[in-house]
Amino acid sequence: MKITILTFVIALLLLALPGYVLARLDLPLLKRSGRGVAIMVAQVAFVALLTWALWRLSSPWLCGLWLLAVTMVATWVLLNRSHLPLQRLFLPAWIGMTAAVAAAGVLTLLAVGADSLVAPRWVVTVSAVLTAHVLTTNIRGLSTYFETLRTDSTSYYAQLGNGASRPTALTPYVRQALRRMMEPTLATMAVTGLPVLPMLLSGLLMGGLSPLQATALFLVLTAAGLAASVGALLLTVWMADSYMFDKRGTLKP
Amino acid sequence: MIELKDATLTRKGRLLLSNMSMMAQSGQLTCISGGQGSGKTALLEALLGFIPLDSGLVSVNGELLTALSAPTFRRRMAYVPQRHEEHAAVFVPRTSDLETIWSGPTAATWEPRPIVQPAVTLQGRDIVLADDPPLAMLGQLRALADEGRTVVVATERDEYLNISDKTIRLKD
Repeated sequence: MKITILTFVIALLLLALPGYVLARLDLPLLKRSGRGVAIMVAQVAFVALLTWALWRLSSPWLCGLWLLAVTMVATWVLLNRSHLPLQRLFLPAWIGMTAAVAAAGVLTLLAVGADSLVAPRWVVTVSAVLTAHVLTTNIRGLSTYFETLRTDSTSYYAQLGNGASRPTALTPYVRQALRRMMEPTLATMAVTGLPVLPMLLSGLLMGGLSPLQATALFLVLTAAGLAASVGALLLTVWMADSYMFDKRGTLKP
Repeated sequence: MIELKDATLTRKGRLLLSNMSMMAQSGQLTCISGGQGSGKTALLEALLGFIPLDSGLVSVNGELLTALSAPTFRRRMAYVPQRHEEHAAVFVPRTSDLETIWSGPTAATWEPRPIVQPAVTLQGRDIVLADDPPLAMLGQLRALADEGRTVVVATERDEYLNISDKTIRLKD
């Protein structure tokens, strides 16, 4: 594969078609679309520059910093999108996400026989896939957990009042969060492959892997994504405990 | 037996209880009455150890209830919260020795009720605290008191007040 500046610019001309249609039909989306594309290109270019630098420097420390930075930004987005208190939950959510992504990532790299656990080629790509998975799923999971606890704490106090331990009293909320978190993923899994080839699998195939290897890596990454999502949710819930409850087990205001 | 001694309780800057003392005896149904916002629920929450008193103490069978000891005491308590019907709770005995204060929802009720209550046995629970229970529970709460349990009910309903052994009225 060889992309030159010329071919790249020509390919981007594909945007002219939707742009023309929007303008022709006088849809008030042209400006917004233009701005959206510009922001996306700028962000991707920035990230591309960073990854290029990581590739060049090939430092394990920088890879570690990269992981921390990526999960930090993802945590910020996660809490903002979930409308959760940033100040109170940032640290537990960040630690939860980082630990889950790192653990699932290491297992993934071991499973696929990666030549190095700290090479940017692996750290950047695998952490990006896993972080994206955790981010999309945990927006639903964490918001369900904390919102349900806030709006429907009667059940929690009822169980606590009936002698249940704190983990037991919180279990229905965790169960509910996991259910809400997993449902869309499981629904997507059921149709993956037949109607549409997932973007990730397409990328692996385009990157030059054989179909069998690409499929195997795709399945491993999907499994790791699920594991990281569940792990991140549980770790966040566990670590957020002292931020959410006082020593009596009462929800802090 | 559950006792509140010289209790002062403030919530959200509002004084709810001031130097209040009360004792709910075993084998008795004790009603706590008072208008809305008088502190009935807060009082039950203090008896359960959920909220701290500003001053005073709660004791269960003569032992002091603290933040640390409360979980242990709550294993000997049965608690019916306010609006428990919304959470698929019922108060129906299964057998003479295994009664349930809560029942889990059926499959049909799962969807509209996200949070599930597990069944809680009344076996070994000598204190029952009920916050504004429905009239349907009146007979059973009375029966529990007659069995020798300490039953404390926060309510404004005359039906409960009429069958109670003791009524404590909180100032509105």
